[in-house]
Amino acid sequence: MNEGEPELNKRKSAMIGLSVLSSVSLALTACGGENSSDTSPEKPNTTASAPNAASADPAGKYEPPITVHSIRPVDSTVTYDAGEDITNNRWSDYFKNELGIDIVYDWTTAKNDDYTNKLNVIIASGDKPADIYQVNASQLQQLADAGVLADLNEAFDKYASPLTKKLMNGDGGKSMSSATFDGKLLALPQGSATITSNDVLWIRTDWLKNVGLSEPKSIDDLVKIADAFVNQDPDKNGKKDTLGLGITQGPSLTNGGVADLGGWFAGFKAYPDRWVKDAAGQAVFGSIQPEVKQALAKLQEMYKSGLIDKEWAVKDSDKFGEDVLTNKVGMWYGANWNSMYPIDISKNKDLLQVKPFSLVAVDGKQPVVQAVDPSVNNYFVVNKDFKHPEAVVKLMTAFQEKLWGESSEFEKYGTNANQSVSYFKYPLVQSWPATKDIPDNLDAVRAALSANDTSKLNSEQKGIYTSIKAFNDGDIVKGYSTARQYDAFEVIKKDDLNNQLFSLFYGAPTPTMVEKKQALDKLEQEVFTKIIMGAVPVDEFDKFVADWKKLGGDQITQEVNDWVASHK
Amino acid sequence: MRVLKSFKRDYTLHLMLVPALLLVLVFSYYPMFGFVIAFEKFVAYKGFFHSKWVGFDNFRYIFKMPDFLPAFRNTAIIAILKIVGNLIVPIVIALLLNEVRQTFIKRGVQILVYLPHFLSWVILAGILKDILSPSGGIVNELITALGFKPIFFLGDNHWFRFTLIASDVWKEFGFNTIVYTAALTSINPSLYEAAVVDGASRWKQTLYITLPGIVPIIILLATISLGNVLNAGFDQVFNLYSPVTYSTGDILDTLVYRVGIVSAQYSVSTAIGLFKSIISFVLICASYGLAYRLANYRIF
Repeated sequence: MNEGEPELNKRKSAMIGLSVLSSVSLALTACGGENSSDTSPEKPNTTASAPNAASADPAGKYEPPITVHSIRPVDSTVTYDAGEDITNNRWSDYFKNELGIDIVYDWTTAKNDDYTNKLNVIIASGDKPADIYQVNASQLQQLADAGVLADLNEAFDKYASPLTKKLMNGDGGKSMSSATFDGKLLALPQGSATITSNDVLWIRTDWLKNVGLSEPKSIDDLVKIADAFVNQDPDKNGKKDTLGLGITQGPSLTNGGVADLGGWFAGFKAYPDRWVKDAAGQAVFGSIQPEVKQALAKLQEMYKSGLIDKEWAVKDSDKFGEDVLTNKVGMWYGANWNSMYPIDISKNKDLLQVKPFSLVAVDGKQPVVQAVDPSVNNYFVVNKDFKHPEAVVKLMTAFQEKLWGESSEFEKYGTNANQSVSYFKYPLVQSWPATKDIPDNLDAVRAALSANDTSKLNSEQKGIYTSIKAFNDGDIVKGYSTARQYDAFEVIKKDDLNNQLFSLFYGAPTPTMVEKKQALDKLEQEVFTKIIMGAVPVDEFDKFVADWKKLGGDQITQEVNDWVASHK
Repeated sequence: MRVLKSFKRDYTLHLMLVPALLLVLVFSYYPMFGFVIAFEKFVAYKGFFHSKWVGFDNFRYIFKMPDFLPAFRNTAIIAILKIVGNLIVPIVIALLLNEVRQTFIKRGVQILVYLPHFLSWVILAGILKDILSPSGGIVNELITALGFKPIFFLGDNHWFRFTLIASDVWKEFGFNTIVYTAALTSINPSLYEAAVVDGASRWKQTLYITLPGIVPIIILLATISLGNVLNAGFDQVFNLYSPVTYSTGDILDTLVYRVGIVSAQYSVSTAIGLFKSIISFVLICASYGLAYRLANYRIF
């Protein structure tokens, strides 16, 4: 009607265009997201749907190559040589070129806990996580109940090499049986050398010398040392800035691996968080036994007299590591690998004198027996719809063959010469021989060192030999962590090899555990922490025991006993 | 007819609403169907439709959980005190800033107090652990220098809630301060001029012009924050609490995390979440009604 009209229309259509554009782009992104998440878990089969005449040869190659979609945690301890990363490295090349298996990671996480949680969320949403992936015991149970896992019996029989069959059953078949449901093998267990998870006592011997004490033989000795470390200025800097016994809040107080209390409790014949036999032969929960109360009472006494860090309850192992590196703490319980973490010899050479010692008991008797979980932490499962369930067996066989088989190349696939880069962490599927470290490697390397003869060593052992030799020759940074780790193995072999106490229960969580365990765990952590810090009297422990039983503990104990009876 | 006409006239505007509407539908309304698992014994691979229907069993279960009531109490106490703190402190700061004549200082302070809002609790928790440490933390150095005993802020149940609330208010007050400062600038200057002519002091001006001028904004923010009465801040608590402070620090969200994500009891944690949402919904409705009745102010 007037001249303003076309102008208005133009503006109008521009506005329509804008709004349409934005909704379309929204729709597009939505589709994009859906597509990518759709294809990843389900469609890989199409790439490999041609009948691959892979023979029963474990080392046979897929022609054409298959793609395996997977997911995994890649924690911060995984390091690489230049040019390699988690998807492109010597192992992935090997799998691609020799086996015709191309592993694609749909996602990775930087922490193991994050992986578990994220996987839980995916399982909750009902999606299929991946073709081959790692799960923990309770996830395995859930997936097994849901019937979404492939049966690996046949694949394992056909494709596992004799070496793999031997190693996977190295613990007497315990771990394989925990992966078997109604006669179906639904997962390959990730075995590890159980005995190596025992605690040793790490002490700074230079501090010991400064305060004029020798290694502890009993809990009383240990308390004396802690007292001297706090009050007699062990680092000779003129300041009262050192701690006695180092402990941290765990993910668990009892088996965290760094400054945990598993070793301390064992000194009182207390085995919290493990299932042990009582006098009548029944399985009972270690945390509610009277020995635990004594151990806690002693800790409270030490805390009150200032021998334990006032702030321990808010420190995690990283914060504790800072105390170690800044010469604030000189004694703690920890696993054999504490010589690599929290100790970092390249950052503080004073830590050279930290050495592993035997655990001590309140009655002064040695050796101290520790309870450990049987060897399985994780399982590798295969999605039922995946066309090549045997791929997981082939990957496992290749892993074990290249590390411990006749064609092993440890320096290429295991660790580099000074143990700074661990190539063995790259493969998705792995399992470790039960007796590898103790006694096998330990004995072989010690013998070679005293005879000065490396001819009998396999490639992994040669690497260890080189490191310890370097340490003995004065190359501290290169050799410290391995040398001290093997000192710790020596201690464990001496104390524990013939005295192993396994937790009686190692299956997936029972129904009541699923419902009640987190509340019970929290109750335990809270009560133990408060008792140690003196916030409540030691007798609070009795109330804890009663509460634990009432809040589902009795029922769990019953279920565990049923499980133990059925797994005799 | 009339509606249709106005729709026809303004259809471009309605069209521009579509993307936002889609987002709300996809991310807020669609997931609400998931609430159905609060009434089921949910098994992931059976899905919504084949899991067993158990009615209110999950709710009965959570009310019997030993952790539920303490967590509920902690959540309410922490959240309410946070709401109060986050309402009062920014108003006071905004009023004080309003009296500052130097724009340079005014802006500078505003930016400085706004900065912590952008820090994540993960980072802040690490910093807090160091500066609040009873052995060598800067705050406790100060306290001991003044002749008092050091306080274990993160490990003492008497202080833990205070620490949570104070650190949260410190982190967030800058944001609300900006909102209030903006509201203050919208007050008509002629009112002040008239008040000066009538001989009102600065205090009287604040009391009778400034405060009434920002009452609508205060009510708006208070009402919105009431909806958060059961959100005590997962990020913050999760990164700061420890077994010692479970009894005063464990909140519903951390409980849901442990039950739902860590122990994979999806139905139970959804039931807790639904319970939370219903209470928040009731409270929002109530505060909306109150705001209308008391201050004659309609938000929507």
